[in-house]
Amino acid sequence: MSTVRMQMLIDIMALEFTAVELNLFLDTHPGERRALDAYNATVVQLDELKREYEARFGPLTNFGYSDSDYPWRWVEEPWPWQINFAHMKGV
Amino acid sequence: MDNQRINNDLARARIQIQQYVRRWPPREGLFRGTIFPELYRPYYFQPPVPDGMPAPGTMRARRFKMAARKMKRGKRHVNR
Repeated sequence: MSTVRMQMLIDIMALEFTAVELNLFLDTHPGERRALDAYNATVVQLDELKREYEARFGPLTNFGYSDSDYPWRWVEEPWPWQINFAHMKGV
Repeated sequence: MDNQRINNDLARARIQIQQYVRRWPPREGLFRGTIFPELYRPYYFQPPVPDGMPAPGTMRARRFKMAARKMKRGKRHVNR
């Protein structure tokens, strides 16, 4: 897996994690404007990044979110255990 | 029976309501397991402020710091 692809994947995971964290915070603080703004900004960034990733490297999920080139792209994706995340802090 | 149940209550948790102060950037949050520095353990980033500690930036704070440093040095000496 190329470094760029790995970096994008890690950034997607990081943004998803931030979105979940803000989601949980907002569940108990629905009136906190700054957290909501941060959440909305994160979601926009995440959406853009996912679209860019899928356009360049292929689908992130098996169905429902992105269309596929011919032939069917999903089966070309690496399995999770084929991605080495052990050194992702350095990427 | 009722009394027995009450006696089985060993402890009660009380949790302070979290305030939205600041957060780490996404990657740092992912690697630390939280985006909120105040939820990160051990609390390296904001050491707990002991009671009676002077406000930062004041003369008293500087003296406080110096006294703390002296105490540390003293301890090290004793350990040797």
